[in-house]
Amino acid sequence: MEYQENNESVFDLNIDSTTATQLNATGKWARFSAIFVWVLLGVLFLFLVFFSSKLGDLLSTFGNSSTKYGDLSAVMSGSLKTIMIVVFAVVFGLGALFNTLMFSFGSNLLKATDNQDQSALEKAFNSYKIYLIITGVFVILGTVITLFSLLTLFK
Amino acid sequence: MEEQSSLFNLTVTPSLRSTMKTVATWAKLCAIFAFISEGVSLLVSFKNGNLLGSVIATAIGVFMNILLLNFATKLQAALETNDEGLLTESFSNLRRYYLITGILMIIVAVIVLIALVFVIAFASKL
Repeated sequence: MEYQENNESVFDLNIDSTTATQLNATGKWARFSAIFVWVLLGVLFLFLVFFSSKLGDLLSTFGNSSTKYGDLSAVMSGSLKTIMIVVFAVVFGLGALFNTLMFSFGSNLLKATDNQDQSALEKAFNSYKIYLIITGVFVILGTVITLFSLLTLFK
Repeated sequence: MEEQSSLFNLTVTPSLRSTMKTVATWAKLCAIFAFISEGVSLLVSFKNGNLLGSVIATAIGVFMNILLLNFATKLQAALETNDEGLLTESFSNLRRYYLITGILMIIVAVIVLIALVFVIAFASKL
């Protein structure tokens, strides 16, 4: 048993002080980024709540500026407003999901390196794994869309 | 002596190793696909004539993706060879990646705030 433990510790990958310093700095910046995006999303949300009434006027102004679609301005402003709210809700929802994972990664990484907490380290990398999987799916989708746009452009 | 031993309290356990392998795989995938996407976007902007902005955005994107790719590649190598030096180098790349992300966030926030001020000023005139 003692031999096995020694054997494991020889072949285990340890996180030394230099790596812990790098992880600590990574955690600080990851948490900072997550908090910053929360603040940005909050500002955008407040902006949408306070200016939702003005948004209709703004969109109808754009609608009236076009003579061809002038008659449809009310319908356009209404549907555009709905589209904008739906787009914002999707962006806010995705942003919240990404930020929760990023915040969890950053704060658990800080907890792990500050308190030598192994379970926090595992939690941090689990959050980061989920974050990267979701990001990866979106990046692949984005690349496919960009490739399609290239194909249509050179058709 | 106590301080020295406390440095080695954090280890890469088998479950953490498995998680880190997945992290490395997906980070590599994200970086490679982002490279392709940036290349294609640059081609599209060449065609459309929006050159300067696209070149700057692509340069920042490529630099960040190199850091992400280095992180992933070195993490995979560190896990395969149990090399602590590679593990440190890997996380050094990740630290730089998030440092740049943080700085870019601040720049974006400033731009968004300026844009909001303009929109509020415009909306209040209606």
